[in-house]
Amino acid sequence: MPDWAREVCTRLSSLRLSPTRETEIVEELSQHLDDRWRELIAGGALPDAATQLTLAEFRDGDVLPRYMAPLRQAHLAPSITPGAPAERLLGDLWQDLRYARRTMAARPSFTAVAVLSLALGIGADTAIFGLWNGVLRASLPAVREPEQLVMLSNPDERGSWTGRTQGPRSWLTYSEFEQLRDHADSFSAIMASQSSLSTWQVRFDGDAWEEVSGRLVSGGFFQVLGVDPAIGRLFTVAEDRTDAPDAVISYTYWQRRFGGRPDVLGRTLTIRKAVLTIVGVAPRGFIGETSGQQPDLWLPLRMQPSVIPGSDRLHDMPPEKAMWLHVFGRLKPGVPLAQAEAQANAVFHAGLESFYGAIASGERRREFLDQRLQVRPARRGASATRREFAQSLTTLLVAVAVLLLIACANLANLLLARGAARKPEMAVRLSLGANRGRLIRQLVTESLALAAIGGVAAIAVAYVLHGALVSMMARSDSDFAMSFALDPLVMTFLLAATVAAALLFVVLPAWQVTKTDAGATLKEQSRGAIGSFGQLRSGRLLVSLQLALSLPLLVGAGLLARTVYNLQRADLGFPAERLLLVRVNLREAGYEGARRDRLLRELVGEIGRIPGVQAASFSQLGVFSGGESSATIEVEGYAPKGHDDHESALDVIGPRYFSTLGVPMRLGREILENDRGNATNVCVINEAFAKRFFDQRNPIGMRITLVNDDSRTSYQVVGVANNARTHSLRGDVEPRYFVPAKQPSSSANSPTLLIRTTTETGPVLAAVRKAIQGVDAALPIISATSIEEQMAPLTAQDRTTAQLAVVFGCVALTLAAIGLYGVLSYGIARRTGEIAIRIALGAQRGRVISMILRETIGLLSAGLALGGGLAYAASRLIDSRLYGVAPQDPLTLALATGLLLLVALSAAYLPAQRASRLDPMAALRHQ
Amino acid sequence: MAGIDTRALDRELKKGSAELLILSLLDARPRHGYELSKLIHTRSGGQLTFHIDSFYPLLYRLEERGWIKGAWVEKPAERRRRFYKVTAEGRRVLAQQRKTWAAFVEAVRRVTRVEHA
Repeated sequence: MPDWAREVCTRLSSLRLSPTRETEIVEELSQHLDDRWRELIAGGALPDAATQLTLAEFRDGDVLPRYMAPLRQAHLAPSITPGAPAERLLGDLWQDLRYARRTMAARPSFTAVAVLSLALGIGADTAIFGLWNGVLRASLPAVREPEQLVMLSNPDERGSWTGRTQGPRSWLTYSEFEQLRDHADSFSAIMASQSSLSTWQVRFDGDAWEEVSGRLVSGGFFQVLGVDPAIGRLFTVAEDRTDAPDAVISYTYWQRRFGGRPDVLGRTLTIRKAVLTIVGVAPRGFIGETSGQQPDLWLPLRMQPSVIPGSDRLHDMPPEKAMWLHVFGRLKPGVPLAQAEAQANAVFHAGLESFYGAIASGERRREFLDQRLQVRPARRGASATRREFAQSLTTLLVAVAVLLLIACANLANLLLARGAARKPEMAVRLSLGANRGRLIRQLVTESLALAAIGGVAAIAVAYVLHGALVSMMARSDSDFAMSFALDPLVMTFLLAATVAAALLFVVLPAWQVTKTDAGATLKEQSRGAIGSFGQLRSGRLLVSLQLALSLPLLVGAGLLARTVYNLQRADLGFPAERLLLVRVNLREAGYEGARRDRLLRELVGEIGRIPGVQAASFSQLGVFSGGESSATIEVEGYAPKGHDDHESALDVIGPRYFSTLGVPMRLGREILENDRGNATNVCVINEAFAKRFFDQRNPIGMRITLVNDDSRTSYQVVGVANNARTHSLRGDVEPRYFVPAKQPSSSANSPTLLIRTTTETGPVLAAVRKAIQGVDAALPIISATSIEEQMAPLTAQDRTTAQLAVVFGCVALTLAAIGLYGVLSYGIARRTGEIAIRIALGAQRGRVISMILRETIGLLSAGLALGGGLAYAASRLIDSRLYGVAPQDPLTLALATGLLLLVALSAAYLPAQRASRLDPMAALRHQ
Repeated sequence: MAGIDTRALDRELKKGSAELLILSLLDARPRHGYELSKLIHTRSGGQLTFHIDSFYPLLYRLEERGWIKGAWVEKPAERRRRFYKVTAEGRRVLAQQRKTWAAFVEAVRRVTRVEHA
């Protein structure tokens, strides 16, 4: 038989056809020639003659290439040869990138999966790192030399305390700030700021009322922080000497509300009855001295009585101090921190002496003076969220890093499988002299290119996720705000995560290339075997690792979910539904003494008559309001065990408080209406108080004496109430005693009305508002919520963390299942011949399935063994967040393991089914 | 039509009609290259013959335009062959070319008809 292929090949040699296309054309034209030849032979021609006639199909000259030349397929782009000897470094890099681009375009689904996995993994990591950094580590933005700032109050505390305190100070009073500002010589400057963020209703030049957030600050606030205005001017120490009604607005507020127009200067704003003038705009990016908050405006401290009425926090009457300010300073050059602290405390104590000196002596006086300042570095500013969110953010950072590892393992598996398909190609190139190092470099470039695309897409993912996370955090801290910023540290993290991911998922496939034995591979290929055992082993290792990493995420998610479940069903000691909490501001409305008591009586009476209201009462501290009150007491027959053992929390309540709330009485009775007018002062104690101070004794009839600096008031215990959780969901219930409002030495300036309803609270609330306004239309209602709304922020952080943990756990499980599916499918493809032979020799399909499933269990066992240890570590990490469930809870571990087993076996079932349905003949023929 | 030197005619007419011939033969059913070239030769009574070195480039050109599509087909006990079938786009082009060719032939016929006195 003539060699038609050679005839055709010779005529095609001048064209640049792809090898595949050339092979096809040669085959097709050869068949045509062969058909022609056989036809001629069948027609009686002799072989040589038939050959001559057949070859006459080709005309002389280069007709075929000439007719082929205009076609697209005849012009292949210059080939890019991985492994070609290195010529120029940059040229090779460019070649590698072009090859990478072609490889990615040739496999769009693989590229899409890889980019998506990387974008999600790297983006999630970057978002959480950005938050973690912003909340826990970053310096105050836009502040001059923040590392030189110090705080003389506690950066982790936010709020205020009125009365007395001992030990290290959380906040300072206005007079204490003035004393330090004027006399603390170790500091070049000192300023003060309101420790909590206020929300005000304001009006600009007669526009509609709108809500803004803001803070009162001293005149030196901006100077100490070292900022210059964007436009206009900022406060100076002059603001401390006068009652100048000036205001400074933030840059973001200026852009958002005023469109960044310079005519904002000189505009007036009204808060309550005070009219202020905008004198300047703070610089871009400046948020003040508290991290995690973005106030809209700053007002001078001296405006406090006008904008936060109801109490004068600028002047204190002994023995009560209004502690509400954070105080910051800059040390003078060369002054060590310890020296500054000692000097500040000297000034502070001198002030205390002069404040308390006149009213106390001896032991009492020593107690009064037992207060001190701690001077701390304040580069990161004040922040209450730091402490609240520190553990959650760290946990999330770890979880999301684990997720990225799992995603990288999946990509590595995909690359390994793809590498197996390209192994013959690699083997041919190696045998033709390709440089192994170049091949590896080309693989690494490809991975870096893929990771780079994923990394760029990750920025968008990080932006979206950042917004979602900040909203979630704001559910438990309504003041929390943080804008998305790709600052140098976060960008570095993004870059590092991208490179690390690229290297992680390429290291195994690249290593496989180094181990490729060209000769052995080519022999293998001719036998029809695919891939290598080594490749399969690496894939299995990765899947076991993925399964191992998924278990701690699942266990963590399970523990956190159970915590939320337990928190939401925590036994409060009273029914947590159909309860309204309405807080009114009596002091601001001018109610004092007897007038106040009459008003409260009237309010409770009116509200009690509303249809749907079962009972009504009030309490000073309310329920989960965040407030607290405590007093020094002496308990009859109780000897204090130590210096601090004569304090107790207390609350000032109205009649039938306990029956309204639904707290049963253990002994005696609750406080009733006629306890107001009685000669004997009565009180009720809770179980914790009884246990602590009375132990086995019967408290009924015993006396508790409230010890004030200038008076002592004795109360007779008339009842012991069950413990009720009204202040926190976690920890033990504090000992507490309850006194009626009317009685002397008690105050109820902003009490919370407690209203127990028989129906849903929504409709009743409207009637309650109406009733309050009916009694006094000008009475300010500070807040009105149901018990559920009041409690929601308490569990918000736990809910957020649990939700995210569940999402991470599910994603990890899905990725591990995909990885397992891939590895098993690949293993089956590799062993098609073996399985086909088994089936052909009579193996039952069921046995094939169980063979595959046994292999899966092997992988799972390895994964679970490692995963168990990781799960233990994970549960210890979140230990302090758990509630009602132990870190090593066996049920959670069993459920997580069970879920992992179920998903893994489901993922294995499909490949197992496919293997059992192999047509042995087709499979073997294909080999 | 014995005696007529059809080489020049062959070349020119083939240029214009080659695509029409191939598309209309494939319209009936899919065929492979050798079958196609034989069919053209047989049905034209030997008047139209394509050489291998121009026939297959023509097929590949039609394939690149998307008017026909080739696929390797393996039948039992036979070696695989590349069969071509006409696409939807190819059918549209065929219809157009048939109309054009018919109009052309009619026009030529009208011009060249024998005039009877």
